[in-house]
Order: sequence, then structure tokens, then C-alpha cells
Amino acid sequence: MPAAFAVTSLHKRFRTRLGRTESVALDGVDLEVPRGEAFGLIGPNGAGKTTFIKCLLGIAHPDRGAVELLGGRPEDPRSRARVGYLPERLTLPGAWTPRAFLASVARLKALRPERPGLDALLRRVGLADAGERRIRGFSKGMRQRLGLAAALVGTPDLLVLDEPTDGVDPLGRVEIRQLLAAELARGATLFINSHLLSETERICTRIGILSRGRLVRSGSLEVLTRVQQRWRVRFAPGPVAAEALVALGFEPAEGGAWEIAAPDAPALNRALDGARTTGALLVELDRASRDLEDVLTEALAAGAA
Amino acid sequence: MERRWLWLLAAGLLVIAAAWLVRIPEPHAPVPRPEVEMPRQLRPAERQRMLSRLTRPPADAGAPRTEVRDPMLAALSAGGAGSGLVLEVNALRNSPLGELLLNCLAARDGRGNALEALQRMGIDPLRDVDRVGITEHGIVVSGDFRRANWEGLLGTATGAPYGERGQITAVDPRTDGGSTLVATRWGDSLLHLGDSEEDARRVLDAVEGRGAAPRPLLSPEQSYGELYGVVSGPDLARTLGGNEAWATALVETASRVEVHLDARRDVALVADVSGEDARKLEDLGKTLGGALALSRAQARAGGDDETAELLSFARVSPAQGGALSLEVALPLEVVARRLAFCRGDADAGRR
Amino acid sequence: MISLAVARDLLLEAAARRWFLALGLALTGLLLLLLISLRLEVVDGALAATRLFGQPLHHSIQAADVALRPVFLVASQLVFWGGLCFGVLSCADFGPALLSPGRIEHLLSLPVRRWELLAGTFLGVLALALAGAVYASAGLVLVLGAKTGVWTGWPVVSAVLAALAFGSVYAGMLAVTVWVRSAALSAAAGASLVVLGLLATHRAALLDVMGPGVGRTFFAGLTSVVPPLGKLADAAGALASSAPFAPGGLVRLLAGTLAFAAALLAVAVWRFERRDF
Repeated sequence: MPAAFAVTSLHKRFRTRLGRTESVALDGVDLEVPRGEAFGLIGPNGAGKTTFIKCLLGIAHPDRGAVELLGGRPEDPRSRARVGYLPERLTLPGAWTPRAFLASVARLKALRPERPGLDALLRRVGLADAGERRIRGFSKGMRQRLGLAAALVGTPDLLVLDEPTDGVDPLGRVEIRQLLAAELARGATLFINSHLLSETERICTRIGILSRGRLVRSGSLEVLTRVQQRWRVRFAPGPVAAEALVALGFEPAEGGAWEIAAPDAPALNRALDGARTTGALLVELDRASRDLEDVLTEALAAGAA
Repeated sequence: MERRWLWLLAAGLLVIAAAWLVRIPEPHAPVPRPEVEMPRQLRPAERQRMLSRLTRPPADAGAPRTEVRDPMLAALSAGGAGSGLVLEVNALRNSPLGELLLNCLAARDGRGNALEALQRMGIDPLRDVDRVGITEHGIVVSGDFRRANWEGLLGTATGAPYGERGQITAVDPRTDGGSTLVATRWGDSLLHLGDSEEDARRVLDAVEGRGAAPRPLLSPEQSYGELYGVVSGPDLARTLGGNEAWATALVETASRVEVHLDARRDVALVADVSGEDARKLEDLGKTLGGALALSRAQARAGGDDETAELLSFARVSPAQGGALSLEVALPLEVVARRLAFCRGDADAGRR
Repeated sequence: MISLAVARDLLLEAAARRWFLALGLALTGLLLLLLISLRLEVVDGALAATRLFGQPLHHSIQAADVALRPVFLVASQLVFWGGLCFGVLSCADFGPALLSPGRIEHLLSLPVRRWELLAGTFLGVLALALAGAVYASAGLVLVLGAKTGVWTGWPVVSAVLAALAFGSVYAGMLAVTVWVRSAALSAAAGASLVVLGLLATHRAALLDVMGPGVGRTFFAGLTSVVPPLGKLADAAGALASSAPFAPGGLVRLLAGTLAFAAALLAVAVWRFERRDF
């Protein structure tokens, strides 16, 4: 089965009306996302994330490179028919009701807008009670939910979501995460662009870091956040000879845990044996990891260097 | 070629097509609605004509009035006549309407004799005559009669001079002393044919400006159209024919009807109807308007589109200041057909 | 068809806009006012008397359909020119709204071809113009027909002509919007096309008084393709008032107008196909 999408050597420059290059948005991006994956694209402002999405969906035309979308070209409406897109700033018609808006999206997707289906969508995004209200009276979070519902019309194979939880309250974010998990379980592919790294960590299994138009890091979340040659241990509650542990090379970490750098298994075990001699009882051992923010910061710094 | 450039190519072709299509000249212009000019005032040629006819009375110590006047109109107004019509024969010379109108106007009260009398004089009404006026007291004819054969009309009767240039001759006196025809000449330009010498004297007095000025029937400014004058309601109804409701209403309501008819192309008639009763006038206006609309509908239903189109110009202006105005236009042929009966009446009048 | 779905959405949006609500209310109010306050007395098919708010209107008594001709003529010109001006102002925003950030990205992500979006927007505005013009004319025909017994469909045909004329103007407005997303510029383009259309009507006379040169050549070229809106207005008036007109000439004029509109739309699509959002 072809990938959900694949881009090869994608270049995009924005030019002034006189033809001069104003900025380089994408500078040779290669990326392939297989079907059924949840991929998160992160990066600083102006990295080219939104431009990437636009080139992917045919909203912008790349200067060079190839884009394959669900086995076809982005310009082919049949490819886009199986895509659900939530833009970062979705403009909604204020005088319409959510039901009318979803019906409009359905018609534009050449689908019959049947009321039970539309109502089910509204329920999924938590807008069941607002079906007949005018959109102009919606909060930011409600608009975001409605946008998500529109992206879900027609049970798309690929969901491209730009800041999907922007403006949504914490409880709402949980609901959206659950919804997206259900979509993943259904077999859909998720492509998420978000500044909320914690949300991205929770939803996505693979991450890409875009900086100045280049993909500087890409890989599974686990691999990216894992810290090599460093371990995280937790000892049983009780008096712990902290100085002795520090002397052995342990460093205190968050939440009462300790971290130690060990180049190999024997070094690790020697350290652990030494800790036990101080009276500390090992209850937990795991590889030390970083959060995504650390990963991003490091990647950007490496890219700048 | 990239596909989107096909749109630009299509745009170019469409622009050329647009330019060509809107610039093609129209080979067959639409047939415009007929233009009908209703006679409402003197046209420039008519004004010239009117001014050329105005004369001063002959220099005579006894004539109290010296203002310029039209001899024909003065003759028609003689004796305070309440109705009179003038036919501009010269203007209608080549129109079939000329002869018919002449016959119609003469086809009453035995005036067909008058036309016959003219013919006996060697005067062809349509050739030698400038105007013919019909009034209550007879027919007035103006023209150039210098070559007229007076013996043909007058026979052995001798006339009596009257006034400065007039001559009154009683023709065909009957055994009881009455005469059926009194021919009155005024110089070689005016001829009055009536049946009363008193009328004849009044005519000459009026023409030569003697005595009290009679109430004018029409002023020279009102001498526009190929036919003009003042008629009574019954006269007009009889001329137009029919016993319809509008004719009855006209007879009952109108005290004075001033008519002007333009027959240069199609026949355009304007009739200003005066009456005493404002409410009756208003009703008359509605009745006339309805009759015209009905005629138009009937013409259209009968396939006579030309008549129907001309009747679109028919209108009745509501009564204001005690008078309403009727305007109607008809094709020449339709009027000619309508008046064809006058030939028979004229012949009957002569018998 | 997707374009029809786009057009339908535009109509739904227009229904909520104040401009069109106000127009609908104003037209309806005017027609109701006429219905209630206008009294026409018809005698044997002639319009004998007219009263408006109880006051008599002085006019000649003539066949009702003839009397109504000037009324339909004036109404057709009001619908034509008034409709053009109103349309230029009230519809200037539809194109920019279509291309607004947040909306256009969403639309382009849907399985809609770019030309379908433009075509749908154009069709929606055309349908709006048709609805307004036909409503006004048909309403007038109904009111006057009920009062006089004169029934004619020609004023409605005339209204359709007016709407198609506006279509040629709106095509230009939409084309300009694809280049520069601005309601003001779109309205200015529409107004310019109306003025050019008037100039094109009197092209021959104007060329006669212009001296030879670049200006004359430019004017001649420009006005050779722009539809002569004055002639279209005259044709609309002739149709409405049952005056004689040359059908062949009208068909060619209309075809040329539609070709002009299609050309502008084709240019807009050419630009739109390649534009990044």
C-alpha cells in the first residue's frame, strides 16, 4: 500500500511581485509518512510547517520537488477527497449553524449531507447541544471543535491538523486526543502540526523537526527522546545516603529519582552495586529520556551551528 | 503546453468573439413604431399659409373695423354661426381623402347641389379651389375664380352688387319666389353658395368688415390641419358614425367640438370637446377612452395590426377647464373605407 | 455539480447579509405599498383614472397596456442601472471573502477544482442578480396585472437581460479580485466597467471627436470588446415596453456580452490555477 504521503526534495521560495526572493520557506524536504501513523511536525515560527502542509495539499505550488498524496497528486481531487484538513485559522460563516456548515462541507466532498451523520459528528466533537446555534456566537474552542468535525466529514484516510487543540480547554483537549486515538485505531493517518509539544508527545508516534525549511530531525518519539548512556533509577523510600550516591556518580533528578551515566552494562551494574552497599534499595530502573522541548532545542541549536 | 495556459488561450478567443459579435451592424433595423404627429398648432408651412391669407377690409369710409382677418373664417362666422368646417382642398389635392371628405361634408341638407353648381361653373373642387368651408348657412369656397365660367352657374340670372366687391345672384328662382341657390361672389377669390339672400349679405358684411363683428368661430391661429373647424356634438357623432354609447354620450355632453385633422400620411384627428357639465365631461372622457381601447383590441383580434398600432396613439386627455381632448390616429385606408358611404349620400343629396 | 454547491453556499451567505435583506425588504415593501395604495380604474380596457394614496394622478385616458408601457420602461431602466450600481457595491465582497485566509485554504483542501470555485462564485452572484431583478419585475407585473388585467411577461425577460449584463460586470470584478484581494478594488473595477460600457455605447460618436493618436487607438481597442451597456439597457427597455426591437441584433449583443464575461472568467481561472495561498 502506498504511503499516506511522500515528499521528495521539496523546495519553495516566496517572491515579491517583482520576482525577487523574499524568503526560503522549504529548502529540500524529504519525508514519507506511512499509512496508519501519527506524525507530528514541530519547529519554531517561520520554519515552514504551514507552507509544507499547503504544498502537500496543493494549496501552494512547490518550486521543485515531488509530492505524492495517498498514491496520487495533490492536484487530483480524488486524492483530496480522502483528506480531512483543519487549517490553523479556519474562517467559519458566522450566520450559519454548525449543521449547515458541515452539510456544506459534505456537499463539496460530493457526499450527501444526511442529518444523522452530521449529528453524530457534532456529538463526537462535543457540540451536540449547539447544532442550531449561529456560529458567530461560538467561543474559540467551539470553533476549533467544529473545524475538527469538518475535517472528519467523509471518514478521511488522512487527517492533516494544524494546531488542532488551539484554544481548547484542558478537558476538551483530552476529548480530542481520545477522538484522534479512535481515528488512528480506525486506520486513519494523522499529520499534526502543533506548538503544544506536550500534546504532540501524547498523540504522535513519529516526530519531525523543521527548521529554516529543512527537516533537521525525524524519527520515532521514543528514539528521539531517549538519552543514550544515561539511566534513571528510583530507590525505595527511606533514608538514602545522598552524599554516598553522589560520590558514586548518581545525580538527583525530578520526582525523587536519580540519574547516572554509564557507558555500558558492567559500569551500570557496578554503580548499582555501590548504591546498594549504601543501603539504598533499587525499585525502578529505566533509560533516561528528554522531553520534546529538549529535543527541539537541541535540534535547533545543532541546525544553527 | 501547461494546461492552465489553455485558459488564457480560451480567453483570447472569447475576447475576439465578443468584439466581433457586438460590432456586427444590424442588417435589418426594427420596424419603428409609426410616428403620428397630432395637429395641435400651426406648422411653419401652415403659418406661412395663414399669414398670406390675412387681408384688410377694402378702404371704405363706412367700414368701422379695419383689423386684418381671414376672409374664409370671417365668412364662416357670419351671422354668429355656431358650427363650421374648413377643408384645405389644396393640401389634400393628391389624397383620396380629399374627395371623400368633400363628399361627406357636402352630403347633408342637399348641399350636394352646391358641388354640382361648382362643376357647372367649370370649377373642379379639387383643382381650382383652395379651401371649402361648410357652415350652417351654406358653402364658402375660396380659390382663384378669374377663369370661372359664371354663366355656367348663373345662367341668365343677373346679380346685384353689394358692398365693395360683392355680388349676390339668386339662381333658379322658383315660382313661389323662393330660391334654391343664392350665389354670392366676393371679387374673384371667394364664393358663397347658400339659399338665402340675407345670409349672403351677412357673409359679405363679415368679409368686408361692416357692422358688428360676429363671434368668431375660429381664429387664424386655429387654422391648422387639413380639416379644421367647430362642430356640434350631433354633427360629429353623425360623421363618425354608429350608435355606440360613446356617440350618445358625445351628443348629450358636448356643446362645442373643435376638430383638427391631419391627413398628410395617416389620418390624425384632434377634437377638443367643451361642455357645461364637468362630471358628464369626465364620464364622456372615460367612455371615449374605453371605446378607443376596445377598438384597438378588436383590430388586434381581427389581425389588423396596422390599425391597432395606430390606435395605440389614441388618448383622451381628461377634462380641464371645461374641455377634454381626444386624439386618435387611423390608417388612411381605414378612414377611406369608413367614409366611402359618403359617395352614395352625396349622390342622394343631389337628387 | 460542485460549482452549484459553491453557488448554493454563496446564496445562503447572501441571505444572511444586510445588503440583500434590506433589498428584499425594500422591494417587498414597495410592491405592497403599490398594491395597497394604487387604485386604477379600467373602462373597456382603457386606463381611465389613477389614484395614489387617494390623490388623483392626472394622465391621458388610453388603452391600459399602452398606458403601462412607460411604467414598464422606467421600471426596466431602474432595474438595469439601479441593479448594476447596487450589484457593484453589494457583491464586491464575495470574491475577497472566498479568497480570505482560513477560508480559501480549507476550500482548496477539499476535492474541488479551482475553476469550480470561481465558477460557483460567479454563478451564485448571477443567481442573486437574477433573483433580485426578476422579483422586482415580476412583482410589478403581478401588481399591475391584477389591477388592470394587462398581463405581460416581457418585463421579466427584460430583467433577465439586466441580470446578464451585470454578470459581465461581475466577471471583471472577480477577475480583479483574483489578483488583488480587495473589496474596494473589486467595486472600483465594477464601476469602471459600467462607465466603459457606457462609453462603448457611444463609441462611434466619441471616436469622431477624438483626434488621432495613441489615446484614440487605446480607446478604440478597449471599447471594441467591452459590451455596450447602453444598448443592452435600450434593448431591455424595448422588451419591457413592447417596443419594436431586432431580435437578431439582441441575440448577437447578448452573445457578445456573455463571451466577454467568459473571457474575463477564463483569465481569472488562469491566474487562480497558479496562485499560492
